[in-house]
Amino acid sequence: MAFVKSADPYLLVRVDLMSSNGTWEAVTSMDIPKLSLPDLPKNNYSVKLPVLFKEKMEKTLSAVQKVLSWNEEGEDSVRPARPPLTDSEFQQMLNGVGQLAHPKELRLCVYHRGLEPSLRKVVWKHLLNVYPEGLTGRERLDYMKQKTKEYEGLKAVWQEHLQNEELVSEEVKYVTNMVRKDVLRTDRHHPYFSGTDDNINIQSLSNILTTYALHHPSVGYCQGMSDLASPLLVTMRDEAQAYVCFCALMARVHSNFHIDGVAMTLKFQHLTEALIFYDEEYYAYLRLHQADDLLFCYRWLLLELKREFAFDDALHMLEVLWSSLPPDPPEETLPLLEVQFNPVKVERPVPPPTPRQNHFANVCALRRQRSTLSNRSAECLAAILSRRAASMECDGPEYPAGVKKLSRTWSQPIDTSQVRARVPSGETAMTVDKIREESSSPEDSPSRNTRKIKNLREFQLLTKVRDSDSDSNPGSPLKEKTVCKKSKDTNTKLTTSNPKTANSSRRCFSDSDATDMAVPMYSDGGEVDVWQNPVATLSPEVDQHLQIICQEEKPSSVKQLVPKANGEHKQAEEEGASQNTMTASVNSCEEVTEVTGWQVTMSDGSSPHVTSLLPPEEFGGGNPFLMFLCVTLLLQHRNHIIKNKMDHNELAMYFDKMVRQHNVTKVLGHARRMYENYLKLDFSKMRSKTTPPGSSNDHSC
Amino acid sequence: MNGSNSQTFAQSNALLRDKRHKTFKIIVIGDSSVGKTCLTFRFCGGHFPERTEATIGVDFRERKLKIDQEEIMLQLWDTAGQERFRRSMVQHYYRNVNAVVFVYDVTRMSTFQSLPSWIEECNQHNLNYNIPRILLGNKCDCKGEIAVPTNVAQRFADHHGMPLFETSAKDDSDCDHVEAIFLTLAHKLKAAKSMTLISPSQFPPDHIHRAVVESVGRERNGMEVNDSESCYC
Repeated sequence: MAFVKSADPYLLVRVDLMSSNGTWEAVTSMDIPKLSLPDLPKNNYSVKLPVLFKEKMEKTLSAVQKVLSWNEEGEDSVRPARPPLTDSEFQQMLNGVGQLAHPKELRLCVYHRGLEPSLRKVVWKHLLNVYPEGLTGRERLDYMKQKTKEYEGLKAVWQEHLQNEELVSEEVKYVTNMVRKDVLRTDRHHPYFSGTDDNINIQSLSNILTTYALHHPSVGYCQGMSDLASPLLVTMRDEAQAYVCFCALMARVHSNFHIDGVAMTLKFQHLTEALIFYDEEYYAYLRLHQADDLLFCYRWLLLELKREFAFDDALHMLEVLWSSLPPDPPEETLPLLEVQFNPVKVERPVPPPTPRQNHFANVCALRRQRSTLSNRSAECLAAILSRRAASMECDGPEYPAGVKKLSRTWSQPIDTSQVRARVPSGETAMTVDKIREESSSPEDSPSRNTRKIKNLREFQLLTKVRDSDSDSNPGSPLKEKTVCKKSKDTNTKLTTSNPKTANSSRRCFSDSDATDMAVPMYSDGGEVDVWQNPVATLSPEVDQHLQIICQEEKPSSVKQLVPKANGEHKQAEEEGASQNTMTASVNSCEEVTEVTGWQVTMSDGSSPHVTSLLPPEEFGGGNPFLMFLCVTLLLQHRNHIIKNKMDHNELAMYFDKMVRQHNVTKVLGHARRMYENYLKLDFSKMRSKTTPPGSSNDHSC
Repeated sequence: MNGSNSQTFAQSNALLRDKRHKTFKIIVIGDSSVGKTCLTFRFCGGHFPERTEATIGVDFRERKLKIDQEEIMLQLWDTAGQERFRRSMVQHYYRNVNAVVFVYDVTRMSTFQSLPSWIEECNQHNLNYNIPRILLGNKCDCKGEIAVPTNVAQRFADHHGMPLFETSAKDDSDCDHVEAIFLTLAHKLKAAKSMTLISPSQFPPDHIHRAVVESVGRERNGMEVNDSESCYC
C-alpha cells in the first residue's frame, strides 16, 4: 500500500541515527534534519517535497520523543496532530486542466494529516472513488451534473409511486417506515439535523437511504446505513451529491450489511487474529473471560467506527481511513443503482427476512456456535497455522525433517503431551496435534490440503467463509495451494544458498517480528527495521547486506528484545492489583504461544519471512487500517480492563460507554504506527499470488 | 504449572465475583423504535434521553439497587430491534439471562402483533421457562394515538402468563412508573421466584401497580434506592 514507501525515510533516518550515535539519548532534535537530508534524494517524490519532508521529520521527531518518554504513561499521544491539508496544497496536486495528477500523494497526505473541513466537499469525492480516472475539472462538474440528474430520476420513481397510496407496495412501505424511524434519530445532536422532525435535511437523508434501498434490492435498508450516509450529507450539503458518495461508499462496504453475515464474520476473524498477533496476553485474558468473540466490536466494524468518535472527529477519522485504501476509481462511471426499482413488479424477494435469517444472528452464530473457551482460539490458531503450514508445505521437501529449531525464551520446543495437557479442550488438542503430525511429514504433501480441512472443523468454517468471500471479490482469490507453489522458488533460493546464515537471519527476523507485535513502534536497533522493509528483502543486494548484518547480530541483543516486547504493559503488572490476572494470562497465553512457538519453528524451516497476518489486500476484508483502528481501541484500554478484572459483560459495557468518546488524535496516531509497522512485514510471498498484477504498484508513492 | 496457575486464577476470580453484587441480567426486546433504549435509559440513567439513536447490536446499561439491605445489580441488555439484527440477540444473549422484558409501542399495533414471534424466539432459546418475563406497553403518554387497547394487551399477557405494564419512558405520571416496573422485577429476581408462577388473580395490575407507584415515589432520582417496603412482592 501507499505507505510502505512513505515510511521508508522514517526508517532510514532511524538507521542513520543508530549508526552514528548508537543510543537514542544522544539524539537531539537538531541532529535530525542534518541526518535526514541525505535520504531524501533516494525517494522519488515528484510533488510537495517540502511538505513530505516536514512530515517525515515530524514523524521522526515524535518517534524520538516517544522513545525518550517511553516510561511515561499514555505514551500514545506523543506524536502531535499535524495541520490538515489546505486548499492551496490540494490545488498543487491538480494539473493545468484540473486533473488529479497525484492521486496517491493526495491519499498519503490525507492519511497523515486529514483535510481542512472546507476541503472535504471536494476531496471526499476523490477519496470515495466517485470519479473515474483522469477527469478534468470541467469534466468533473459535468459528471456530477449528470449524476445529479440520474439521482433525481431514481428518486422520482419511488416518490411518484408513493403518491398513489392504494397501490403502494409492502416493500416501499416497509423501507420508508424503517428509514423514517432511523433518520429521525440519526445525528440529531448535529446542527444540520437538529430542531424539529420536519427539518428538511432529515428528509434529504431519508430520500438518500430510500432511493438506495429500493434500487439496490440485494442490500435493501438496514440499520446503520443512516450512520454512514449522515456524514456524507453533512459534508456535501447536497442530497444528490451525498447520494453519489453514498453509492461509492456502499460499493465497498455493502457486504457488511448482507444477511449472510459472512463479511462481518471475516472481519471479526481478522480482528481476532490481529489481537493474537499483537497481544497474546490480552487475548488470553479476553478468552479467559469469554470475551474473545469480540462481539462488542460489532458496531465498530459495521459502521467503520463512525459512532465511536464525536461527529467532527469521525469526519476526520473517516477521511484518514478512506485515504488508507488504494485508489479504486470506477471504470467509466459510478453505478447509482443495482436494479431499476420497478413498482409494478410487486413480487420482489426482499425483506422481511425469516426470524432466523438475519444478519447479526448469522454473525453471532458463526462466532459463538461452539462452546467458547478453547475453540475460539483454535479457530484463529487454525487460521494462522494453516497459513504457516501451507507455506511450509511447499518448501518442506527442500528441508530435512531435522531443521534446527528456533529457540526463544518464551517458547521452548514442545512435545505433544505438553500440548495436550495445556490445551483445555480435547478437540483443540486434536487440532494442534493433527496439524503437527501433518506438518512434520512433508513428503505426503499432495493430498494434505484436503485432509487438513477434513480434520479441522474450525478451519472448514474458515475456508468456507474465505471462499465465498473471494468469490464475491474476484480481485483477491485466496487459494493457498497456488500461493505456496509460486512462493517456493524465491524462498528456496534465498535460504538454501547459505543455510547457516539463513538460520541466524531467521532468528533475527522472527524476534524483531515479535517485538513489533507487542510494541507498535521500534524499540531496538536499526538493523531490525531494515529487516522488515519489504523493499529491502526483495532486492538481492540488500539481501546480501542483510545476511551480513545478521551474522554480526549478537544473541544477547536478540534476548533483549523479549522483555521490551512487554514493556508497554509493564505498568499493569507493576500495579500489583492484577498479579493473579497477569500470571494466569501469561499462563493461558502459553497455550497460544506454545503453539505459536512451534509455528515459528516450522516456518523457520521454510522461510524467514513468514508473517501470520494476511497481506493488506485481504486483511480486514480489504480494509486493513480499520483493523488497526480497532486493535488500537482495544489496546488503549487494555490495562484498565485487566486491572479492573472486567468480565465479558463489563467489557462490553465499558466499550459501549465509550461511544463518541475516543480521542481521535491518539487513536489515529497509534493506529498509524501499528499500520506502518504492519506494512513493513514481508508479504511478498503472499502478495505475489494474491494481488492482481500491477495493483501493488498502485500503492507505492 | 500452567494448568494449576490457571486454576488458581479461576478460583480467585470466582472469589472476586462473589464479593461483587449479585448481578441480574435482563434483556429487553421488541420491534425497532418501540422505545427499548429510552426505557432502559430512563431506569438506569434517571431521565428520558433527549436523543437516542438506532441500537446497533446491543447496548448495555446497569443500575445498582439495594433491596432488603442487599445490593444487587440490574444489568439491562438493550437490543437492536431491526430485522437483520433482531432475534439473534435473543439467541446470542439468552445465555444466563435472568429476566425478559417484551416491549411494544401502544401507538403502533404492528409492534404488538409481532410479540408472538418474539415470544416464540424466547421460548426457543431459553431453556428455563421459569425465568420472569414481563410485557411492557410503552408510549402511554401519547393518549390520542393509542392503538392497542389495554384489555387486548391484558388478555394477551394473561394468555402468556406474564404481567402487563403500560408505561411511558417519556412521561409516566399517568401510568405505571418505569422505576416501579423494574423494581418489581428486581424484587422478583431477588426472591428467586418466578413471576410466571403467580396467577393473574394474585396479580391484578390495575390495583397493585398503582400502589407500588405511590410507595416508590417519583422524585427519587438517586441511583441507589432502598425500597424494601415499597414493593408488593
